Amino acid sequence: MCAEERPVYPVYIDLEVLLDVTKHALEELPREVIGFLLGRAYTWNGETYVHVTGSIRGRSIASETSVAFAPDSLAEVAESLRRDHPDKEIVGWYHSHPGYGCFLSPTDITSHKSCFAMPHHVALVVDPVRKEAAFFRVSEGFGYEGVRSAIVRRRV
Amino acid sequence: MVRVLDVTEPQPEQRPPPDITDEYEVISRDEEGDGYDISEIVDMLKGMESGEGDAQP
Repeated sequence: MCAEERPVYPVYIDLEVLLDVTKHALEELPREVIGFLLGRAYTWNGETYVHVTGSIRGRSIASETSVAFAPDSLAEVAESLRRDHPDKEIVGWYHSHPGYGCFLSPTDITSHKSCFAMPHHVALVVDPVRKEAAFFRVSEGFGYEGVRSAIVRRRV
Repeated sequence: MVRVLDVTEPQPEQRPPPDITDEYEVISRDEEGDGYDISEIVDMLKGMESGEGDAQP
């Protein structure tokens, strides 16, 4: 298959970002963690995809089964985005489900719908106990679906 | 002071995906959207945390 004919995955994530997110999830066990995915949206052959090239940890109020941004943490995230990642935009969010698998709960779906309105926005769920990770998008109504993706690494 | 925010939706730039360019290599693909087994990543991070792999005297 020539390069021009390869399927476009809706999501590409740099390996080091997945490492950072997983490290965050492991450090806070058994509590959940939450953060933002950074990168850019692009189009190719008429299809839109996102390339996730960074992340920002969110300071959170978390338990083993729930997580939310601390009230004053969003301003910090906005400042970090402006200061440290001026070439990136928020392309989604991540959170962990320690030991109970990768899916979006009804609360997750509500959060996604209220904060991530663009069609290319994605949710990454990491379970550091079951050692699983998956990307999701919220679909019409109150559903969600797994998203095809690829983990990539910059050649040295 | 009021900060004015630009709320216009940026139009995505046209660019070939990373796996089409020579700049990136693909580590793993999730063809069905059912997720990844990240055992290697988790085990590696746990190994680093416990000091596994440190040089022994």
